[in-house]
Amino acid sequence: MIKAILIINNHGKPRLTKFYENYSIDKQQQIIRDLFLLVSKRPERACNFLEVDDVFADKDTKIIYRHYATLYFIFCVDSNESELSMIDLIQTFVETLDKCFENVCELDLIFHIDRVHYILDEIVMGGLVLETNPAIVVSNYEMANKLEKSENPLMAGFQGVIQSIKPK
Amino acid sequence: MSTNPNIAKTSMRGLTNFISDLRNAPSKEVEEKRVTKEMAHIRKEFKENKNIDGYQRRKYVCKLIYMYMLGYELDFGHMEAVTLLSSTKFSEKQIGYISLGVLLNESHEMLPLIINSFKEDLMARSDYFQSLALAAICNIGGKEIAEFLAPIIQKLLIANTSSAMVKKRAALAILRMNRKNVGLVTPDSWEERLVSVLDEPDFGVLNSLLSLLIDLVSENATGWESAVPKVIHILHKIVISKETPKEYIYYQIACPWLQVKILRFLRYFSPPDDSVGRRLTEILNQIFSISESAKAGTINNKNALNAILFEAINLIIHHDNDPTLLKQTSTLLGKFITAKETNIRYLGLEAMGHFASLSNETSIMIKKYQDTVLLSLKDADISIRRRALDLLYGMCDKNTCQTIVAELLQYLQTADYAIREELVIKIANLAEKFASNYSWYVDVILQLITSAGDFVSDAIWYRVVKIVTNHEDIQAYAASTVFNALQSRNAHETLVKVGGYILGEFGHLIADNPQSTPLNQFNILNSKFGTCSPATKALLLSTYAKFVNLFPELTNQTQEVFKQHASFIDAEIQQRACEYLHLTSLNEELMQTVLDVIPAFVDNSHKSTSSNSSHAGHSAPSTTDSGNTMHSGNNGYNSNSGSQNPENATPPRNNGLDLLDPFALSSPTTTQHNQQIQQQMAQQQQMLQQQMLQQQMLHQQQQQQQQQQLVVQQQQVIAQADTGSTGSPFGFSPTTNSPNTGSSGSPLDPLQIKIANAYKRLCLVNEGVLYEDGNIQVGIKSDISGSGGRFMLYYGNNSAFPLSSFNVQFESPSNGIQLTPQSIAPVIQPKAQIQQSLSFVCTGEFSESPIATINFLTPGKPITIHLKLPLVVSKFFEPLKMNSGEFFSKWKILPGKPVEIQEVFKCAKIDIEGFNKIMSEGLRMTVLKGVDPNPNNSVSSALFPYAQNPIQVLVRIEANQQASMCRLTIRSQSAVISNALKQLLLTHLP
Repeated sequence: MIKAILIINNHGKPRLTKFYENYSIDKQQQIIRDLFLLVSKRPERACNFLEVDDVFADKDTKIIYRHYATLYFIFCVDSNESELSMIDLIQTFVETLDKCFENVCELDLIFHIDRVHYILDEIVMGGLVLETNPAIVVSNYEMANKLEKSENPLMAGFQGVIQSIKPK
Repeated sequence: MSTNPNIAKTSMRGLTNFISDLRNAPSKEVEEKRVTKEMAHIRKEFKENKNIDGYQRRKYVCKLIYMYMLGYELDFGHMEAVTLLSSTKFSEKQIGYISLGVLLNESHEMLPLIINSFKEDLMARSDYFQSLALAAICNIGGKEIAEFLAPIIQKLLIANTSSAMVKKRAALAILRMNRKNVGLVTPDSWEERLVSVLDEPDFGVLNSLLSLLIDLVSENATGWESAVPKVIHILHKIVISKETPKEYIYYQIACPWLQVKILRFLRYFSPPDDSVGRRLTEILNQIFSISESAKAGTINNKNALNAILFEAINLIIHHDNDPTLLKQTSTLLGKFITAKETNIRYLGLEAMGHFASLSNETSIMIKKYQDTVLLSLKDADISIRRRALDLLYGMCDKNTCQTIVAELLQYLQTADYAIREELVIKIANLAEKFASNYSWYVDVILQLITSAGDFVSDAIWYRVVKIVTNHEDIQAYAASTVFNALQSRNAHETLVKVGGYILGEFGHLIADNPQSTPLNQFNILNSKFGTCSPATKALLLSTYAKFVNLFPELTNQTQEVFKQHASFIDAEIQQRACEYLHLTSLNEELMQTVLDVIPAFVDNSHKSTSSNSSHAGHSAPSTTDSGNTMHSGNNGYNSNSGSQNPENATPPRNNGLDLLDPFALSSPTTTQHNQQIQQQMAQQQQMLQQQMLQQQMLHQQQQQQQQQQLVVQQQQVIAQADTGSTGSPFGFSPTTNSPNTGSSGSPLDPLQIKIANAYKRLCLVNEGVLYEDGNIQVGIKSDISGSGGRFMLYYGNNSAFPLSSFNVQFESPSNGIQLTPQSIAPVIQPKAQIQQSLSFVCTGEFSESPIATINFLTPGKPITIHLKLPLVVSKFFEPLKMNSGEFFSKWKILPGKPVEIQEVFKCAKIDIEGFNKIMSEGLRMTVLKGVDPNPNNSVSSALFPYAQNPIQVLVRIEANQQASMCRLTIRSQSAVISNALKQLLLTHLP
């Protein structure tokens, strides 16, 4: 199971935090700080897996992380997840973000935090992999956007879109 | 930096500004100020702005999420998130759910409030609404949600009408609920249904379902075997027949996640036989050959390929039944641990660890890689070093032990702090486990203390002391080694402790050596004394006392130390100093006895404590807790080995004789001891059973006496003949209390009929007479709101005599009703009336009415009356108004048994208006006029307040005037409520 998913930038600022287990807000911030210290010290070509038992106070915790440009994508998992599958999943997540935001960058994550959460919820739910196919995630995301626009009174002319939208 | 113009249009300027402000904040203080200001603003808006619209709310919730991510605690905003949930707009609902996931957890007090919103959305016809609710349940659902919503979610997973989007979420939601409410999903009731979902063509659904199945079988695989051939079939389709939907191809690899999941799932079962087994072998071979023939692809392609390959390898290791595949695996692993990619080396070392622990053969197969693994111990990456250490630990045996321990000791000198503690424990474990001679073992432990003393736990040095004490042949060696080690200027304090102990006991063995004269021994220890902690000082004082006994020439020096510490600030040291001072200066004979050599430690920790306690010895090793640690044997050093998998956690196999287990931990004495305990327990249990039997007999006798009384009195109230499956709705039923007495009354007893009619009438109205005879009249008035209420009971004396010893007992046969009666006066004067209040709370479903037992004395004879109190489910109903559309959508969501109850009954004169009147006035239901197209039908609805989650009850009566028949259908989420209501309706309608 995935315990937490974090996106942290090169300066240690969190850009997305999602905890699937119950931690106090202080513990959450502690985890973010500790993990950033650990990953930021590691060289680029180092192993993408790191055992971090003490950070989570839980023996069975590994992080699987990847570094893209200015951002660290960190998945904290237990031993029930395959490490390489998690690497693939991070790739899928990034590719999906890239499609949804057309060349995603750090600023997109900052200013569209609700949408990033929505996309993540399409991929991982309750700490478990929900969907691995970026096409489906992107199409759900676009549908949701259309639904939303049709409800927005400022964007008239979309009446009846709700009826026309049928999920796959 | 590019932003989608479409998004820019709908995004919110206020939010953008706020985030920019925070990002541009030059210092943490400025940021905090800005956040505080924004929070105050939002709080004010929520509080005072009554016209706050969805758009604004959404904006504020976004801001709150952002602040929360930065670590600012939020004490409000939760309610707003909850309000957004009940919005009918998707966008608002969506942001409500997202913030819920971020802000709330399963124990949050707000959660019960939103269960109903979850339910509404689960039952909505939109896939998007259903998906949002399922996701939230998956993220924050707790036990309560599991209990309440599981049936609905199960249906969503199985129903053909559910879309793939909903199904895959439902599977994961069930997984979460089963974790929170263990035992929710059992093979008997779920196996068939879940396994049938494996026929689903959608890969997303299959992926989620496999997650669910893995979670279930990891607890207990029994009962799920029927899934094995099915998943192998799916894997066969992917790997061999290559039938994978195009969109699930990830960098030329067919859905790696699903393949990995299936392979992992198979780990929990023994290898399948026959054709299924052959199929699996074919698949595994194919996976091997695919990865072999793979050309150098992109990194992502390689990753996916290896993810499957490693999972296959781990499955082969788990099954351990195919020598050819095992051999191939060993070769592959050898390749992996020298791979260029760090990730592959890591996984290779990890898998090799599992492989080595399989059997002697497999461990021999990988012997040849030992040098590579030793090299990995010096890898630049700590992840790799950890894996290598684990693997070496697993590979170690009697023959390789000395080499490996020597390597590890050398590595310990340079190892980083993160890994030292683990390393020390592992070295100590290996040294003890595979030692071929004691002196080597003592050397290793002393080296450990020298190079990493801070990481050597007390357990380790207790252990070495104990082994030395128990083995005469190494005592002199140990004493001289430790004496030499102490010469180092910066000897670790742990070494001082070991030295103090060993020299105190065995220093005399090396006293003839000119280097280690008694004075030298004392001096070297005393040179460390000043810098030691109080615990060590105390130990050294004991050593000095022992020295006095062994070497009388040291009396002056030691007594000097004792005198110095006779008024030391630390109480323990002071006490020891005073005691030893007197002991060593008063009575030589006593001193010799007290300070005698510690005898060998024995197996039983209690014995070892008590035998040592007669000697004022070195306190540390002889205390109970050290005794325990020592006796915990091979894994005695709290095995904080950091191993991730249960496979890793297994200690290395003991190929050789365990030289250093002199206590024979698995000796029959412990078993004997256990047997004794078991015998004692069995005896105690027997006695307990006998007592219980006696009590039961006594109780039965009492009951029989009571029954006889009842029969004589002819005053009893007896059950009418059963009218329904759940028993009589009238009167009381004495048979439930006393199965040994026969029926003692006639159903046609006029008094019975009178009682039954009174009860029946009072089920529909709030006040009236419940019982009346020549002695007493019982009136009742009820007052109910929500899930609680109160009965006022009026007891009037109809007779000419006082009714004495008057008391009433109440009992509720259902757990769902809690009764709290008020006490009453014990006497009712003639023609007088007393009243009693009985409050009650409905905490859950119930079907049986509470029973009142009235006891009193008339001149000459005692009277007992049993009465059913008219408290039925409908008393708690709250009207529920809904329109036609709502009614039928609810109606459709609640089909099938046991939630639906249907009954056809005959009715001499059908009067729909009369029915409606009973429904609305008597049963507090809302009669929904014009909802059913047929005017001859009556539909009504109500809410039953069940904790925080009211249960909706829907009733439909279809009348057939010609045949004088009616069909009654009741739907609710609770079979108990439905049944209770059915009984009630069948009593009142015809």
